[in-house]
Amino acid sequence: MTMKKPASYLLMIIALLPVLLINACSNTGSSPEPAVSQEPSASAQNANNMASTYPLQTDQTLSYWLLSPSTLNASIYEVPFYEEWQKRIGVNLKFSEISASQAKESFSTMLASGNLPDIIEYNWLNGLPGGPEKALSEGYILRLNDLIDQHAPNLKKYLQEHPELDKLIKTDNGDYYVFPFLKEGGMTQQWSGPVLRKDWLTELGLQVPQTIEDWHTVLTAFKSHKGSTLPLALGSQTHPLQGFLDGAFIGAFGVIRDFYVEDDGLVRYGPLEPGYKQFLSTIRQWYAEGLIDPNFTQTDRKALDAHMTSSDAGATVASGAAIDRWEQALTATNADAVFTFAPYPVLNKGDKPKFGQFAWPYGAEASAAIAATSTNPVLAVQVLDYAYGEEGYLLFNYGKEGLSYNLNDGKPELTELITHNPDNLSYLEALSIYTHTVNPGPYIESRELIDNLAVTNEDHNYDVWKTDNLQHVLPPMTISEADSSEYARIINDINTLVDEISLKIILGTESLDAYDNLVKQLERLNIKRAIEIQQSAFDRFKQR
Amino acid sequence: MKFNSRHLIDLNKGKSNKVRKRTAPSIKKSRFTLDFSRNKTLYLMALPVVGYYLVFFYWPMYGAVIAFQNYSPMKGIWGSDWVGLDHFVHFMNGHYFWRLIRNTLMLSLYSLLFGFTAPIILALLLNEVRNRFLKNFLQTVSYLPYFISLIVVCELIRVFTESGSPINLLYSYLSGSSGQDMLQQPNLFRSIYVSSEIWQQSGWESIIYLAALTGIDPKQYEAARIDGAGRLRQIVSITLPGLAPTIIIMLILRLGHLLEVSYEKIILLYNPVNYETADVISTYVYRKGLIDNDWSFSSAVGLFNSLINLTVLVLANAISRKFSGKSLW
Amino acid sequence: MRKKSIDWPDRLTVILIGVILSLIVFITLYPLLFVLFASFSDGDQLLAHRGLLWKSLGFNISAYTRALANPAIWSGYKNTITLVLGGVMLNLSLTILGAYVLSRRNVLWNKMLMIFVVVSMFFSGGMIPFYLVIKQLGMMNTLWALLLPFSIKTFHLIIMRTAFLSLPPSLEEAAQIDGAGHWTMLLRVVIPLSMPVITVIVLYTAVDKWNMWFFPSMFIQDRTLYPLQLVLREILIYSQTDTISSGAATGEAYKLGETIKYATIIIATLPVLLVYPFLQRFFVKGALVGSIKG
Repeated sequence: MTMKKPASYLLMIIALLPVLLINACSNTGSSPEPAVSQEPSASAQNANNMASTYPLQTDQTLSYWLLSPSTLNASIYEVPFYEEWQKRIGVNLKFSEISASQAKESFSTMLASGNLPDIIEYNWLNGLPGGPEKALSEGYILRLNDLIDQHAPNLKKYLQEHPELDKLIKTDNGDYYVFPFLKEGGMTQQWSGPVLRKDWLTELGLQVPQTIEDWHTVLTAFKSHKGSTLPLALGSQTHPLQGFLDGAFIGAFGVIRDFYVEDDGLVRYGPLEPGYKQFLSTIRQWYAEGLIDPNFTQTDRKALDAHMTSSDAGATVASGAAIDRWEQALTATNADAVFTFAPYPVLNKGDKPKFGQFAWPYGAEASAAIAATSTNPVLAVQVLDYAYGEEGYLLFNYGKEGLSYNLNDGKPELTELITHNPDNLSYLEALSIYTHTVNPGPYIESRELIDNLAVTNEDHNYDVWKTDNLQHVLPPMTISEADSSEYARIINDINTLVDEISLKIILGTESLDAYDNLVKQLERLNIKRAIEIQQSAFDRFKQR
Repeated sequence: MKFNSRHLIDLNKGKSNKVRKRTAPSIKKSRFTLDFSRNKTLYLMALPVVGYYLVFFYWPMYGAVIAFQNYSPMKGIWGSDWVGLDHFVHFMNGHYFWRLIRNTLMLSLYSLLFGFTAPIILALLLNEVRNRFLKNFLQTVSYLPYFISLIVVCELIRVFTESGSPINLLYSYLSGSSGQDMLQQPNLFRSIYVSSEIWQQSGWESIIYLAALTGIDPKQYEAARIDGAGRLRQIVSITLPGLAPTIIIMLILRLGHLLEVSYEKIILLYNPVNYETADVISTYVYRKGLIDNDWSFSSAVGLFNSLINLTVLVLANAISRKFSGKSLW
Repeated sequence: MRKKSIDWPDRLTVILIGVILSLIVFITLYPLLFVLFASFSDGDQLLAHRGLLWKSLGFNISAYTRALANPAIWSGYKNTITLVLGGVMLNLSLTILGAYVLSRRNVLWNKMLMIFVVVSMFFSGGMIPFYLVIKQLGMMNTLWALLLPFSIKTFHLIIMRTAFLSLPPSLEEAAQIDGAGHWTMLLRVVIPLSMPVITVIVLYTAVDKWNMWFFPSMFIQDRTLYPLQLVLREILIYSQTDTISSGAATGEAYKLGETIKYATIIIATLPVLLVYPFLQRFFVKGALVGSIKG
């Protein structure tokens, strides 16, 4: 417990006042240009484009803010990976672990206080209304161009080799703002989609559904013949409409619940398009018919697990890893109970699905920025750059050599500690302890590792989930600084409204007519302007 | 910062009966220095208290100027751009303004209507129990929910209203509805909120009335019995009138806090589907400030709420002074 | 004849009252019994069950062993007890001081001070500015942030002041004539005579601290400093009974998770429910302080 004497606070209050005054005055109009010219001691010997030698020789500690990684161990300080990482880089990191359920509140209050840790791992692209340009101009985080150029040889090299990635991780002005979470393709980018119980399909003599109508038939059959209480289960850990956010089902109607680009290069807002109404009316009907989990807006991970590993549910939208896990549990009691992947549903047979889970190779969700107030940005850059080198790549993906992997012909191979864990941990659990792989973060996620881990066979065919998603969803582009405040305000109101009305229509608490009202209200909330802002951001992105 | 009406009776009575009488003749020294030298110890004693209020109430109050700015933490309060009443105007013209006002008002009125009468009825019922042991037992049971934490109460609400749960089954049976999770039905939110308030609070709040009932002269009942009045009759013509002064005081005090709704509870219970009836001003402040990072706007809405509360309080107090001669200050 | 005609409606009234009161007792107690039964139930049967529970479904104490093995429960208890003890001492000393000052009758600033204090009850700077102050004081992520900013509840201060004011002035005058200073007067005369109200404030403060969750969720990020209510929130509202559940045991963990939830409620509520009947008479006094006898 860190209790100081109350008296010291009184003193502190008095002592702090002038400091606050000075701070407040001196900060006016300051630009977020980093103090690169000053050369901290730690990096003095390797300043000029030289690769840092790890472990770095320093006694400095950096503070590091991140969302609590999903792992079995209670605290990040008990996860061997983080210990090993600090040992390798030679810098002590003081972690603030934020529980995922408190992420937004904690992030907001941390920013509001103006007192930022050195390194902040967060979704800097979408997590802050106004995006990275705003984060830079408000002076929360550093523009990293010069720092990367001079002190991050690994990332610099990687980006030079992958110009298509380089384009994604910058703002329109060409500013770097984070050390990004990068993906090498394959299942690191595309890992989730619709899935059904194969044994049920076979038993009922049904084909893997392709169109919305097929799905309706299959789900109805599941309900009436298999006694499934919730034929289609949908998770909602992160959002009440989570099951549809990636484009499953809703994509069949040519829209998503967000901005997207049509082939004509124009940005649209899904809920304004007629397809959205069709989507609502279909799902509403399914819900009324009892084809969808009645509590789909409140299904956390555990509830979804329970539905999928029992005979309650026959279909869902999920990641391959989750499906493998459920299948393992199901087959333990019933060898026939297996899952089969289904393509993202379409309206007419033969159509190519327009939307579906397919992520950009730059995953903004947990990329690390350096606070503008950091006293040692160079050291922070060196710390973060380690992951993008060869050694760091192996550590972050495979863990420690001799422990979690061995090199075989120069190729890393996971040891039995991971594949057949003595404590009966699943490979994901074991990986979450010895590597960074299971959790997003500022490193390059290995395609080979992930592709080899997942079960693939004719029923688990990831190609079935292929869609045209990346041609239609918006890239990791940035709103201009001038627009950011206006956009943030519009979009906050709009998001609340769209979710609220959509849910009510699906759940049947409002009639379908409420949709027309929604469109009117969206217009009143100035959705047109938001589309304009997105359009100009997209046009600028294309110019990069 | 919220405080409960049930305690205010103390304040009120104390003040009305004693404070006035006694503060009136207090001798006012015109010179501060004289006072200081006479009461040095007293000033010393006041220091930590004054310090506390300065730091934890007046400093944040000063910080509330961010409601008139586009607050940027890196620029600080002094460096942020001033926008005047922009945020207030934006709020009042905003899409959610009337809904927030309506929900805040409705929840308060419901609480007033039902939350206020429940403890009175309970007290009347308990008063009819003659067996001392039984009465004690009943009272102990009725206070019990008051000691269960809000987190647990909200979990209980969830457990008892989700589909397949006892209350939900009963409700669907009576109303013929489909048995959907009751917190997903906006039209039920107010009832859930208020009835859980009653469950948790009314036993506790009945204490004050029970105490007032002990002050009624037993001879009145005897006289009534001799006159042949039945129990019901006694309740109506003796107990209730005996309780009336307390009820009136409590009512006036409660009116002063008409617009205070427990946002902590709502935050634990609401979701996008029931925002329509559950979202109140204070929860909106919370969402805007802590989830959408719109600190200045959030502060403006908070300030607006404070102002309204203050207005209602002053009004209630004026009414109270007019009709009962009792006043908060 | 006449007597009987009175008796009948009377008996009916009594029966009606009895029925209503029994119903109230049932409604009040049943939710807790439900939790108790559920906590001992078998996860499988519990998940399949609908409606009321009259006994535990099966008998299984594994939920308790699992819940008690959760270190967060224990650290939560430790932090909450620290908060309750620290809060009571801090709040009590400040409240007594403030109430004493405010109850003096011949002090120049008294009325102004009273206004200065009372304003805080009806007007506040708001959530964000309050947060900024706490952060600027460097209290974030310490238990101090849950103690100092809440060390006076204006309302308690006023109750206490009312009680002090109600002491017979003759006592104080006598003490003053004997040459007693303010400290002597406070410690020897005022406090000993005000024990009922002091007990009440102690109990109110303890309940407040015990229930605290909103401000802890804003000010505390370090999970080892979470008070019990925040731990409960994680377990109940976010159903984080286990972060990851292993492959073959996923469904199992969910079923157990349900019962762990109930076991945790019992573990976190039982101590208070066991203690409060003994403290009840003080609380009852509390609700009445100043209102009946002054």
